[in-house]
Amino acid sequence: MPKKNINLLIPQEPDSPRVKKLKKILPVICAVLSGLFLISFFGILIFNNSNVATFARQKQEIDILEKKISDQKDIEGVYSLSNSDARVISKIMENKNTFINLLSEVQKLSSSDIEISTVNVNGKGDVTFTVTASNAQTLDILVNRLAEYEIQKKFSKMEAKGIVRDKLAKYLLSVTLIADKSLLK
Amino acid sequence: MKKVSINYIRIIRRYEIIIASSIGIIAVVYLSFRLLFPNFMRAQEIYSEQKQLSGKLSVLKVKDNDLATVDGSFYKDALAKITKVLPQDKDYVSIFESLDNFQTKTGVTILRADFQLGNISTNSASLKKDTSSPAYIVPITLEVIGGMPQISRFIESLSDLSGRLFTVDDTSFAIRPDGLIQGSFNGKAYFYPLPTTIGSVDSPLASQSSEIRDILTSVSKNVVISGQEGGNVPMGKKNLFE
Repeated sequence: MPKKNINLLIPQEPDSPRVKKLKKILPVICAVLSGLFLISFFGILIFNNSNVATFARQKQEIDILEKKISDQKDIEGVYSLSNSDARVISKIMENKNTFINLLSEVQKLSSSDIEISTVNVNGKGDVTFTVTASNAQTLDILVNRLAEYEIQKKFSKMEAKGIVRDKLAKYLLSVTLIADKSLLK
Repeated sequence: MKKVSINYIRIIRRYEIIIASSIGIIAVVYLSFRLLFPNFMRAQEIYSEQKQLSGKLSVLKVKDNDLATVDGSFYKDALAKITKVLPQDKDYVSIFESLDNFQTKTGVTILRADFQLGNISTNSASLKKDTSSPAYIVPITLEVIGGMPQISRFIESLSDLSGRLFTVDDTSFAIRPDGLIQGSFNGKAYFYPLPTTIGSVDSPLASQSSEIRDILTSVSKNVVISGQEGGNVPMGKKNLFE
């Protein structure tokens, strides 16, 4: 009788294409993810440890400097407060008026024949002054002088008001004008 | 029973690669959430805190260097004198004192000085603030008489930082027949309460412009603090026939 072989092994069903693909891809993904995880984890551990050391050193430096600065708070105080006052004074002085230049310009108008009796000035540069001119020629000289000031842009919008002639033939008038801001300083 | 377990073993052996890989992936994901991400957040925190610390450290170093260059005695002197120019409260005594000094220094005669009542005499009166600066104001009117050079010097003295600071808003002059000028000034005196705190340790030191330095130098030179308080005040004649 010829020998018969009985195959006791149950033949395996062949894997589907999807399973074959998974068997190839999943191990690769697992290996890559594991590798990335290990690299990231140890990298972050090293980063944290080195930064903790730097952090501690910087904190110590800060503590030393803060103590040093606190010990000098008196100096800081007088410095800050004096600067604070000086800044306020600086702001005030920006807008201060002295009117000295204006007064001297107005006084230049006066002479033996031209008498300036009152001068009023406000912070905006509005000027009013009363003048007595001894005669018509002197009045003309005054007008010419004022015209020169207008050309030099020191005075503008000049008006003569209330011109009266008294018994002695003197001319009394009041002049209003606007002075240039530079004359108020 | 034995057949069932043999079947399971067969399935596991058939798909062992897939199962092992899946377990590996799940473990990596789990460990990432449990270990990696918290450490990553911690690393970010440390990085941002370190950035803040570095910033704070550099500010403190700059402040320390700046303080090392500050002349404490100069600013101590300047502060004592600048509070005479710009007091912390209304201080009408210093207004009178300054006007007396200006009168003596310039040669004008102050005929009249008017202060707005209520601002001086009572603390409950409303405070008036200056529009161009943070200071408070005391409105003041002065009448003076003197020659033109004296009047000019007087006007300059009001804001030359040698005494209390005054500014003039408007003025009127009457030129008398004897040549003297009678001047009337409407203006302001100022006061400024100093801040009660100077800022934290890590706040930077305020920078100082050359203008501020000039003001402090001018005040240091020009203001003289009298040594005695309440000294002898010169009185008028005790006897009309002297």
